[in-house]
Amino acid sequence: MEKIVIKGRRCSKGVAQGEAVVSYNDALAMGADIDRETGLVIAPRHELQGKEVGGKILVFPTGRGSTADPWGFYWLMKIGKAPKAIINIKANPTTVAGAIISGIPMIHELDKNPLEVIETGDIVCLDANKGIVEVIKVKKS
Amino acid sequence: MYLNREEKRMLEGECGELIQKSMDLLVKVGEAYDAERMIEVTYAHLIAWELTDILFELFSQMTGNAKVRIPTTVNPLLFNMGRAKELGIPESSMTELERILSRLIKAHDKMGVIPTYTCHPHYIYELRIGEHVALTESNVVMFANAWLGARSNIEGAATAIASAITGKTPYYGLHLIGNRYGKVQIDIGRDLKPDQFDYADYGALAFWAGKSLKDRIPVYNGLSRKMTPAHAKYMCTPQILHSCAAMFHILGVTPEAPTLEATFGGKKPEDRFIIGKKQLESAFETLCSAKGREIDLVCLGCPHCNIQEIGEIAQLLRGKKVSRQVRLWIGTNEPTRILAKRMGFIDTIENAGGLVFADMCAGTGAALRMSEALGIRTVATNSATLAGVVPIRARGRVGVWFGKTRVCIASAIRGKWGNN
Repeated sequence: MEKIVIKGRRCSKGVAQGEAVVSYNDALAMGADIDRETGLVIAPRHELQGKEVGGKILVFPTGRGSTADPWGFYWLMKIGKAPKAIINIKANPTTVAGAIISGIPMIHELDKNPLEVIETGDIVCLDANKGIVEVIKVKKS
Repeated sequence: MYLNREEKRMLEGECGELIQKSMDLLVKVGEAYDAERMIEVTYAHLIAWELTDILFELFSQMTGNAKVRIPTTVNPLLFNMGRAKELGIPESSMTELERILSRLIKAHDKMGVIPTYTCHPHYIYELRIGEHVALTESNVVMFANAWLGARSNIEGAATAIASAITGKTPYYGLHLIGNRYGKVQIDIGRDLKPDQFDYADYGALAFWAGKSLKDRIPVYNGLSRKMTPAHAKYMCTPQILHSCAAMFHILGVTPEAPTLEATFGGKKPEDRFIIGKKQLESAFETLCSAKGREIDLVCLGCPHCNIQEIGEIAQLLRGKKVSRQVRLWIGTNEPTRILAKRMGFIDTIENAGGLVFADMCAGTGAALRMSEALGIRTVATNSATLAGVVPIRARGRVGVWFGKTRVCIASAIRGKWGNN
């Protein structure tokens, strides 16, 4: 299996490992775009609409949404539906604040565009403290 | 990151645990953005979003007995419980809402927050050009940056609290002049008449522009030099619905946009778009998500109206009556509501069947949160913010008709959406 390592800057500390879910084009609000009961993305016409983010390594370009977003993110974590980690190209400060208060590892500003490296289904190991992302490409049949 | 002696003491807990936790959060955010140091902020604005028990617990952990170190204002509450009956809040919900909202109000009072409960505190608290501040609420941040030339990043709820308690913020993003230059030029097409733009036009313009920006700051070229701060107010949140640029420039109007060259920092625009009649009409269409023309609520004052706007609405309603099936809600801040009362505007509006509410979020707050209980399926508004947010927040339960102010009022009178 192919393994790729990319390095970036820590937004929120911690380590995590899991299956990637990737949004290539659409920004995501951890508060407003995700249903607070089901943990599914409910933003209309969103690339990830209907998908579950809980327990995944969530990869998307950047955050969007209201400045209440950190509360929404924290709420998701409290109900056990938060992603295991977040990878952005360049993070929105409201997502960063949410990740920190929720204790969810998060990385951005990587030396390679994560959206060009990671595909949904790949296994990602992330050490936000060291700023390292290891991507294990899962062969598609 | 360099921390001065005071900041180090704060981070190490010498000023108490609450300041230590706040400083810790701010330093971590700063490190995420490679901030070289912290800076002082001299004003903060908080949100007062619905805080369920879990979130209030977190809020209390962050704030404890702390007092804000800097003047701090606060966003609207979800409901004005003093006027719950007029809003039509069901009896069954009142006790719980009272509990949640009154504990929030008490907490803010204890912290020493100025109880503005408005999404446009700039009417009440003034800022200096270049003043470093920590603001939540996208339209508050953007207005401060763009129109007032103050400097703030988009603070999430938690970091604004941390800044209010410590008086600090990391030096990154829009605090640096190098990050405030325009990157995208938006030319107003010659087939448009910007001198006659309504608040809805400004919002639709920003909504349309926001789709092409990503994180790049736009420079609007061709808007009327007589445009008012209220006009600019309607351009804020719509821009940020699809982009994350918390700043804009209006050539010849806003303080950091004297010339094209200065606004772009001496560089060429990365992109250039023209918005003409076709594009603006398309934006209006996109912002309309309603199916049937019957309307339940007309909501104005998103963001909160100033006294001029309330006067304009009163003028449109003079001698007329709002249809019995329609609620007409207008949001503003309490000092303005008092002025509007003195000027007779409240009487005119209430005689017509409308209601002017202070201290609360009429649109994205009350109306959406209680849409089922209040039987609100279709909202008409001149706010591109509300129109843009409803499809996301209401998930198909509520549809929007978006249009100019006079069309909204005419529709309130007819009971159906449409031009008069």
